[in-house]
Amino acid sequence: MWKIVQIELFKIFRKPRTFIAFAAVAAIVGLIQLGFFVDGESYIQFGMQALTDSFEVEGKILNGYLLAYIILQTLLVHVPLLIALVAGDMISGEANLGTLRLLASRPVSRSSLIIGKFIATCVYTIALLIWMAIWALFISMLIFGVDDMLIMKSEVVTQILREDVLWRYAAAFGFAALAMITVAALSFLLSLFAENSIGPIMATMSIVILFTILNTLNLPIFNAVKPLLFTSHMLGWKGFFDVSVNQANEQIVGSIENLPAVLRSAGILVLHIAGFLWITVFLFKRKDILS
Amino acid sequence: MNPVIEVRHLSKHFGALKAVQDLSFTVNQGDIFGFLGQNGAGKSTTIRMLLTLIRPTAGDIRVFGKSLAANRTEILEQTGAIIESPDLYPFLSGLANLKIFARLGGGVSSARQLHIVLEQVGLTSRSGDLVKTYSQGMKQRLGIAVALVRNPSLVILDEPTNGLDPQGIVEIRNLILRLNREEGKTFLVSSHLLSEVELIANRMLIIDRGRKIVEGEVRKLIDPEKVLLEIETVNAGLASEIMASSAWAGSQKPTAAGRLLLDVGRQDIPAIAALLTEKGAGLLSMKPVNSLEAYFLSLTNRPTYVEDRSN
Repeated sequence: MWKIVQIELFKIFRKPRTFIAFAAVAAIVGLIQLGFFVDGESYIQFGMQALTDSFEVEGKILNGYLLAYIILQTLLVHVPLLIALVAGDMISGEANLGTLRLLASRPVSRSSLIIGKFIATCVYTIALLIWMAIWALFISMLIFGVDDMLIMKSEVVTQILREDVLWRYAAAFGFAALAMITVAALSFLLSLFAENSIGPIMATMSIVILFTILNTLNLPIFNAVKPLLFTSHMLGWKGFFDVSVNQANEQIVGSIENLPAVLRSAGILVLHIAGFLWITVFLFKRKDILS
Repeated sequence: MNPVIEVRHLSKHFGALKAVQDLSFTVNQGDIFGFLGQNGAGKSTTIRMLLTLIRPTAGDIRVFGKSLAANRTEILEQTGAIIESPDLYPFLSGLANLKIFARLGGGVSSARQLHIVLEQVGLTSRSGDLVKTYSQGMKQRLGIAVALVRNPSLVILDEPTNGLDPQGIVEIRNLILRLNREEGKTFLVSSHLLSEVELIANRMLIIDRGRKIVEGEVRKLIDPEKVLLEIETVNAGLASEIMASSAWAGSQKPTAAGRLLLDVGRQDIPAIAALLTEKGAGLLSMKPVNSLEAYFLSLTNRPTYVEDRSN
């Protein structure tokens, strides 16, 4: 199995398309950072206007932690496309090249082949998120410095102490990895049915967009299925930035306001990953390879 | 003779299409087994079933005396193959491609083994170049190297000389013969180049529309005294009438307009030439078609299928 994973990783990182995603993340994050570096203070002052009218806010509000949060909110909606770019090519790309029949005629089981490919896809996904973390978090910290993190929501402002932030990002990126691996697993499954990667990439994005739209529609007919859609849980990483408060309304360092909800979302994503992978293995074992 | 491949009553249907029907044949140890058939005859479908790429609708395949379905991994460890065109990763070098397929399954092929195989197929000097820069012939050679890299005892080659220049064809033919003779490897070679099979195979199978036409030893099946004669004349209609009223009336085969195709004895050629000239048909050329090709055509033109004539 390890041998298959190594081979698949070697192939993934020798394809030019792999680096499109890394370049795109660096470019988008770089642009956001440039924008905030030039105009960030006025943007933040405008956004904080209601708060600063009533309270005196001290410290560096526009800091690396806040910017990373803004970037994550923006980017994690678009990253599925970058994930699908590689995951959707994992099987269909082999079929397109004609190498699938060579692979499937080697003395390795079809299950091992598929699981090895999926593990390699997961490694790629995690590598992309680490890359994103480096750019969005660590480089933002270098450029904008660090301080307490203020998160503005519609009715609430949450202040997280600077020493209480980094572990939350580690957990958030871990959760984001789970969400992106779910997208990868879906794209991977769809790539089984195609002989080039365009179809799986388009189908994955269509499903993500469709489910996201269903999530936003507040209609009773859809409300029953919403908790079952993986897209309903993809932004569960935000839960790590909701802090519990004590009776004196003071935040509890190291706390998560609704940990069970975060864990439930994570569990549903894991179930989706396992389900998509199981279906892929099941179908691939029975597939006639004609390409 | 130990059978290496035993196929019994193999069928594969794709919906209404019966790609392979009740096919049975045996490849013995040490054979160079020619697998012949026209395009769409079912050769590649059969080879795909031998390599577990597609599942048979019915029938049984045994390789090295074991059921293929139950011992897939063990059997494929001893089998090397190229299937149709040698498609490899264009964004990797030839050597990297070879290493990938060498590493998949079983032990690791040594650097020496990689070097030997590259030398055997004549690719040593270009092994570091990306496959996308290779010619079709070089890809074909690399495909053969992939088939041989794990030193298998059974090698299945689907159209191995496709895309090769005449020199390359001779080299690959000699390589197959040498590996068969010196290392005792068993080969199943499918080809549309009938002359190729005739030159290297000791046994052969011809299939048509998914069914076996004949199986047996090449030297027994092909009568060197028989020939399929292609005749070109100025007046093809007259030539056809002349032959229809001659002693060779029953030997005419269907062919393209303007030509005659006769299934005759080699010794009859001078008499036929004399007859056509004497009767004023305007003889332009007489060309004996390759003997195996003649055999193939004479069989596939038959309205009914024949049974196993081997042994």
